[in-house]
Amino acid sequence: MTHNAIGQFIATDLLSQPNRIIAEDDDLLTGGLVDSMGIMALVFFLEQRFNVQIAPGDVTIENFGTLRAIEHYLASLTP
Amino acid sequence: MLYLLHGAIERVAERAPERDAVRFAGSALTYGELALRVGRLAYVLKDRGVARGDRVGILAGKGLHSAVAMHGIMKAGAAYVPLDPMAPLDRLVMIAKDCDIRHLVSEPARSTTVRAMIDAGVTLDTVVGFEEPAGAPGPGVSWEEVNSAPGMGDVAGATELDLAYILYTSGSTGVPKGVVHTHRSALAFAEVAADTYGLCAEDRVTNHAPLHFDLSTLDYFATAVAGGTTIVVSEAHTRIPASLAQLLSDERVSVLYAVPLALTQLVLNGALERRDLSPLRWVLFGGEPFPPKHLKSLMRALPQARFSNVYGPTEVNGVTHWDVPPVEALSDEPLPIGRPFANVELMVVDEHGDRVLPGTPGELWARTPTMMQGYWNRPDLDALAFAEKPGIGPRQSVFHRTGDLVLSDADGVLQFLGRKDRQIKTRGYRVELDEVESVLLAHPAVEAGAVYGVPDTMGSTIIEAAVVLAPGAPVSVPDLMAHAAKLLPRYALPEHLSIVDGLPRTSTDKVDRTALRAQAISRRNRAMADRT
Repeated sequence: MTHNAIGQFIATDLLSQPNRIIAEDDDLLTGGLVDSMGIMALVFFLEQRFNVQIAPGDVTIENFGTLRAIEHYLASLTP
Repeated sequence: MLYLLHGAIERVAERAPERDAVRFAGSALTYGELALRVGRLAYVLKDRGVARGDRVGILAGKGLHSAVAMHGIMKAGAAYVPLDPMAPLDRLVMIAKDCDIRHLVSEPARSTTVRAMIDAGVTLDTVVGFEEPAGAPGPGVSWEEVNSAPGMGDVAGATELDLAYILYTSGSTGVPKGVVHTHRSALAFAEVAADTYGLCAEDRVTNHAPLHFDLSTLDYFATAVAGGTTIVVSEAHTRIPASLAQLLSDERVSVLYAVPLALTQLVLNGALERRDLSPLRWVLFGGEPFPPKHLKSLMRALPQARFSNVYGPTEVNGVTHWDVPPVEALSDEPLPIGRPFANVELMVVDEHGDRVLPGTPGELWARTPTMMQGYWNRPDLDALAFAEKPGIGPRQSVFHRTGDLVLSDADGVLQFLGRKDRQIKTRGYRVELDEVESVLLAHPAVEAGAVYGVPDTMGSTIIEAAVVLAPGAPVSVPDLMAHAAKLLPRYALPEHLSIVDGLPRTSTDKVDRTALRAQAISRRNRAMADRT
C-alpha cells in the first residue's frame, strides 16, 4: 500500500516519531504534519521511491493535502 | 483622530461599510460586518469578566475569525496574545501562565489542546469558539452566541497607552519572553508602513505570517489604516508554493509580505509563469536576509513589482527599510537593511554606548514611537533592552538596544552584520540558541551539550546540536528529540543532533562552538560533493 510507505516517511523522517500512525484522510498541511521544508523532502522522497517526475505546478493542496490525495495523484502519473 | 488600533476598522466601517476588510478561502467580511462582530465579541468578553489591561489568548488556525478575535479583544480593553497552534503543550501552558491568560478565543479543532492546558493548571473562564452541551455550564461560548450578543462592547477611558498585544519570542534562559506593544506603538508602525508603501483602499494585502509573528501586524493594521483588504493566506497555502501562486492570482493581491524563504520557494516551485500576477505592485520581505540570487529570479518573474526589505526586531516593529534597485543594478552582495523609517531615530554605538563613525561596525540603537512598552513582567530584561541617551533634541531619550550589529556607509545606508548574542533567524523565526541548549541540558541523561547555527543553501540558518551523555545512559537521538519537542516549537528543534564522546574546547576550556560549526559545514560540503 502506497500510503503506508508515505505515512511512514512522514512519521519517521519528517516528524521523528516512527510510531506515529497517520491516517489516509488526516490533513497533512493544516494540521502541521508537513511544513514548508517537509513538503520539499516529501516530493524528493516520492520521486526516488516511486521513480516519477513531479512538476512543481503539480505540488498543490489538492494533490498533497492527504495521503489519499497523494496516492490518487501518483496513480494518475503512472500510465 | 486614530489612537486605538480597532478605531481603524470603525473609521472605515462608518465611511465605506460595504468594502471588504478581510478575505479567506473565498469568503469575506466587509468593514461593516467586521465592526459589528468585533463589537459583539467585545460585549461577550466584557460580560464574561474581561477587564481593561487583561490578556486574552488566541489559539486557532488563520481565518476570518483572526481579525474578529484581535480587534474584539482589544475593543474589550484587553491585549491579545497569539499562541502558536503548532507549539508544544508545555510551551503554551508556560505562556498562558506567564501572562495569566484566563480567556481564550479558539476553535473546535483545538479542543484536545485546550483541555490539556486546563488539566495542566491553566484556569480558563471563557473559551470563545467552543460549544458547550445544552444546559451544561462551562467556559465555552459559540460564535453563534457571540454573533447574537445583545449589544456592542466598548471600554471606557481606553488610551493609546493601553496594551494592544503581547508577542512571545524565544528567551535565552529557556523561558519565552513576551514583547508588549501598546496601541500607540502598534499604530505608529501601521501608519508609517501604510504611508511608506502608499497603501490605499484598493490594496489587497496578504497575511502570510502566523499571528504570533510580528509581520502579521502590518498585514492587518497597516491595511486597516488604509481601508484596504487583508487577504488571509491559509496555513496550507503557506506550505505549497504553487497553491500560494494561484491564491495570489485569484485574489488579485497587490501587496505581498513574507519571509525570504517563502518567496524563494514561490519563485522556485510556484510555477509563476502560469499565473497572472499583474496586480502585484509591491513585494515586502523581512525576518532574515534574502539571498540576492533568488531575489533576482523573483524580480524577473514579477517585472512590474517593486521590492523592499523591511527590518526591525519585534521589540520596535519596523525601523529601517531598503527599496531594492532594478534587477540589472542589483549586485550579489548581501542586501542592506537600508535607512530608517520617517519616524525613527537611529544610532550605531560601540560597547560603551558612544556613537561610532560611519564605516565602523557597532550595535544598532533605535528611538521610535513604534517601540514596545517592555517585556511582560521582566524588569531584568527591560533594564538590558533600553538605554537613555541624548537624542537629537535637548532631552534624554529612551533607545532600544537591538543587539544587532550593523555598519553604516557614508550615505547612512545600513548593512546587517550579525548578532551580539547567540540569537539566530531560522526560516524567518528568531531563536535563542541558548534556549535550545538549556532544554537539551535539562534532560537527565545529558551531561554536556552545544547548540550552534549552520548556514544553509537557502540563505537561512539551520540548528544543529551535539551532546555528551552520562556514562551508560540508555538514551537515543530520537529520545532526546522527543524531549526537546515537548518544550520547543518545531522550527527551534535541531535539524541534526549527534551524541558525541566529548565536545571540542577552546584554550580557556569553553565549548568551541566555532569548531563544531566548521565541522558541520565541512560535513555538509562532503555530503553535497558525494551527491553530485
